[in-house]
Amino acid sequence: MTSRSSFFKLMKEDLRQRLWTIVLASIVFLLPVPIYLAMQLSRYGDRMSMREFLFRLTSPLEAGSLWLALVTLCGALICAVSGFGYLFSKKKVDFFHALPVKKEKLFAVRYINGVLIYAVPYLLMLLISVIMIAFGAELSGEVMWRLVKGCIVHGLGFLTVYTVLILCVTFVGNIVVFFAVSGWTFGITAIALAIYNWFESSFFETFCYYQQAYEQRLHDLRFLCPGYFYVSAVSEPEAGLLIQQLVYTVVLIGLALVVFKVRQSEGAGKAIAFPVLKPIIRVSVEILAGALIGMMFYEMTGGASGTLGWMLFGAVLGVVLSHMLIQSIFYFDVRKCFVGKASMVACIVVTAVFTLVMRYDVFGYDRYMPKRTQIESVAINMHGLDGIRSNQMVKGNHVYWTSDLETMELSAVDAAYPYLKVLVEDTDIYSEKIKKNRLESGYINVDVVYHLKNGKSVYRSYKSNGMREDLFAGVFETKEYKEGHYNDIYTVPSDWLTAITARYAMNTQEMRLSMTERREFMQVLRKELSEQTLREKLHTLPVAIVNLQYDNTAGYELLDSGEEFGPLYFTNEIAIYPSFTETLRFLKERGFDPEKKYVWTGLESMHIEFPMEFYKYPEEAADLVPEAWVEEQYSRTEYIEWYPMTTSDKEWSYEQVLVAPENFERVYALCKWEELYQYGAPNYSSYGFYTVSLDVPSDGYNTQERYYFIIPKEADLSFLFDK
Amino acid sequence: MEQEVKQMIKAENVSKRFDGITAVDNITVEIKEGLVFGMVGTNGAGKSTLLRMIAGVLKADEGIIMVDEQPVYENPLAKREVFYISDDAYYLNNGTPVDMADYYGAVYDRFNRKRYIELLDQLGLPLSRKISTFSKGMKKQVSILLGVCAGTKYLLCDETFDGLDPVMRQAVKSIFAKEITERGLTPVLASHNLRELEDICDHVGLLHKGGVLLSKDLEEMRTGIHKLQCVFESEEQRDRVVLGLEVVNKEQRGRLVTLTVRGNADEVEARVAEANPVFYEMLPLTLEEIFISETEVAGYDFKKLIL
Repeated sequence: MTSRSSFFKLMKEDLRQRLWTIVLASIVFLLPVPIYLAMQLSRYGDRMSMREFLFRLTSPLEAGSLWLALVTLCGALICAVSGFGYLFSKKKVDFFHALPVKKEKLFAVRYINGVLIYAVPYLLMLLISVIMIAFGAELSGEVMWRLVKGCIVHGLGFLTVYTVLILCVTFVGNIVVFFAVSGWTFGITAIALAIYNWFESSFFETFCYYQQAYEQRLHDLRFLCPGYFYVSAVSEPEAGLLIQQLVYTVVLIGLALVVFKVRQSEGAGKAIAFPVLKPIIRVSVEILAGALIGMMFYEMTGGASGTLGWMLFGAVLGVVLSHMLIQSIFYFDVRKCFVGKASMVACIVVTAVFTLVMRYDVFGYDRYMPKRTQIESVAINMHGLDGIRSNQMVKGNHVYWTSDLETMELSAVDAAYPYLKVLVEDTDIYSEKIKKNRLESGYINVDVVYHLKNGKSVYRSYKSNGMREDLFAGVFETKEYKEGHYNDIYTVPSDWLTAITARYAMNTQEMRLSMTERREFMQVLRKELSEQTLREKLHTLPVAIVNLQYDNTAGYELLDSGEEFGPLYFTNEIAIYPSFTETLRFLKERGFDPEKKYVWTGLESMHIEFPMEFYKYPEEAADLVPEAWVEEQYSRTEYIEWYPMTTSDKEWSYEQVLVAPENFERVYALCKWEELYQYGAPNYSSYGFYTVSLDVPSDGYNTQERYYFIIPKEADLSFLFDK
Repeated sequence: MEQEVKQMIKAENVSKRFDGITAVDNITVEIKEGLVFGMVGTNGAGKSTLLRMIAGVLKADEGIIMVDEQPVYENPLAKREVFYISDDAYYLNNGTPVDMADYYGAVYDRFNRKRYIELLDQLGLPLSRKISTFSKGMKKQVSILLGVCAGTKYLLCDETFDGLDPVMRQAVKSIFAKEITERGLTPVLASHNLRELEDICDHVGLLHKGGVLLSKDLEEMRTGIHKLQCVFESEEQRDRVVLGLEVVNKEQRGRLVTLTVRGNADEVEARVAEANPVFYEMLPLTLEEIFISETEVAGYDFKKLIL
């Protein structure tokens, strides 16, 4: 008998033993999708384009199909256990390992059969789907590519997960332990990083949430996290990662074969077949459990400094409990739960040291700043600089709300470095104050990323004591900063700007733009944004808001020819400042005049809210508001309403004063549109202005509409109180 | 000149430990072709471990096991000469005797399917009934038939006769005898029950606490040790006889003296006759008695174990 024929005979016999998996796979693959396709094909009408319809048809077969991902994961588990689960049984091991068959052959037979059980029904399902789509709809190249891409992603995902699960089967000798070890194999890296991330975010003042340190680290350690590749591919397939996954899987197959070969038959029935794995699993779980429970205790007790004792107690408890659990499983005997006390104590020590190192920032995370010579470029995101406007980024077929950290690359590091040094010092001072339980106001969050010459990126979130205008100006007024900060304006093609809507309070004007106008508008806007000074940005209110409407209809067409962009429609807003003369001219030429005041008819009432800030006692508040007003407010109590808001040690209140009708015009002349504050002028602190509300009858049903304006605090309102 | 390959199973200084417990301790044993080798020992003596190592299921921690001068572990060429029937054999899920034959047929190239079907028929075993519905004895019969028909030189049976009724034992013995005669099959039978092996084995190895206490041909043992029951006229007469014999064991109840004696049967008888006792008789020893005697010589007191 030739070796080849015996190989195929063995394959056949093995498949006969796994008949139930073949039936299951056939049902799962060959029933739902054809039924779904048949249903969809019978429902197709004119309400959607063929392209949209094809998207809907192929959705369960695409790379991003969660249904297919679930089937793949379950399939990998079933195939791995049905093929190699015999290793858990001494009886079966005696049977199969006594056969005159080399282990390599046994492995190959079972491995290939597992793949076939998944792949054959899957490919059959694809074939049926292609035929149904071809006859019922339209089989385009794009559809085929989507199906092929799905096949690559899920097929490769199956191979990776299936191989890792086989490795897990060979590591252990018991089905329950197999599930535990599989969880450990797939999850330990992700869990360890999540716990580390939790420590960082809890203990480091400069920890930057935006950095996505977790995702980045997970990516860096992806070879220790077997599920990473598949999850990444399902969410967004990347050719580079898929190739890495393929190589990784090939290596894993080789590793699985070696492990299978060296695995001793007596491993059947034991918890772990390779004794060397026991300490690795145990120590890693104990330290993580200690750190996790310690941190939970820390958070449960309020996260204040006095809770360190609880945290350490939690760490000890976590280590001890996990040690008892693991040893009981490893020995299948609860009486052995304290075997290996020395290693348990060592784990307690390691966990406690780690906890203290993180808690007291022993390695100076918060004060760390890369040397000037190490930095290639930086990106700076000052929170609140543009009010409610957010940065946007177009990537592939999607538009993302993003941070300046992602879109900015300041190569003029010399200009930024002194500013960043001050941020480090400000943060240090801020931390000290916080440690002394002194609530600090006036600090601004500034996120920074240092891109180092060695390819790494260091993220930090600093506290800036005020705007630090003198230093920040050198950063803000560079073209690179503006390009990063207003990313969509600088990177989205001008041709996509199909319309703009300019507005100032009640004045709103939408303008459809011709191709020439689009280019002209974007050109002047970019130029004037680039030239804007920090001083204006911080101290001057904008004069108008312009809503930008992007629509890449051209891009939509490009998709069919395999281009990058899909159909995109999105909007963003930009504040227009007095220095933007060319932009304002453009708007005025098309009939929008921000200076034109809206004429109110039937104005019924007008109120002004004066904010008051005081510390603990009302009499102290008196020092903070003009003397004359205090007297007035208390003498005219019928017009005063109180809205006290309590923070930790300050109280705020607003007093609302009714404006006499003869003063309506004078007050309105001082009014600025409230939204302008929200879009720009961050130096107007929350209480740097007075709020004015105008009540206007809206229709014939006796209802009122209220419009809000602001008056800068510097404005002279004393006329309100003239007798 | 081509060297002749020695047809035998040979274990040399083989040891195997499980979690710090020594199951097999430095065993050296040879199982020659064409003999029925019995392996006896108490529970935990290491019989099953040794068989599993010979079958290539387990790898020896120390030493080596050769089958026809080839190491057996992970060596299909050597393993194709060995068929192992476990004490708790596995049968394919929902498998019938025919399914089992199909499976073994795929891996043992000399598997004799025709003979297998004939033997199944002969023993009255249904061909297409699920083995899971068989009785314990029927399952054992299927295993034995699979082993016999696999075409291997060596058939390792671990407690296989346990559970077979006397009629079936005789049937199996006759099948073995035929196979031994026709193609030189070497059955290796492990059992904790000496009586089970007594009438079938040619050579017996006794395992105890992971080691081999003794390994001898049964015939040699039988011809070399004898039980005598005598009644002497006087103590002097008795002592004279005892002094002239290699007495392994002596028991006396009243005047009846029972002696277990080593030596040639004729010589022993002549020696006793010469003393002219009142009565004497040569009795056959059971295998159990031979083993107790032999092991006592080796320094083990099995009676203590029993008591």
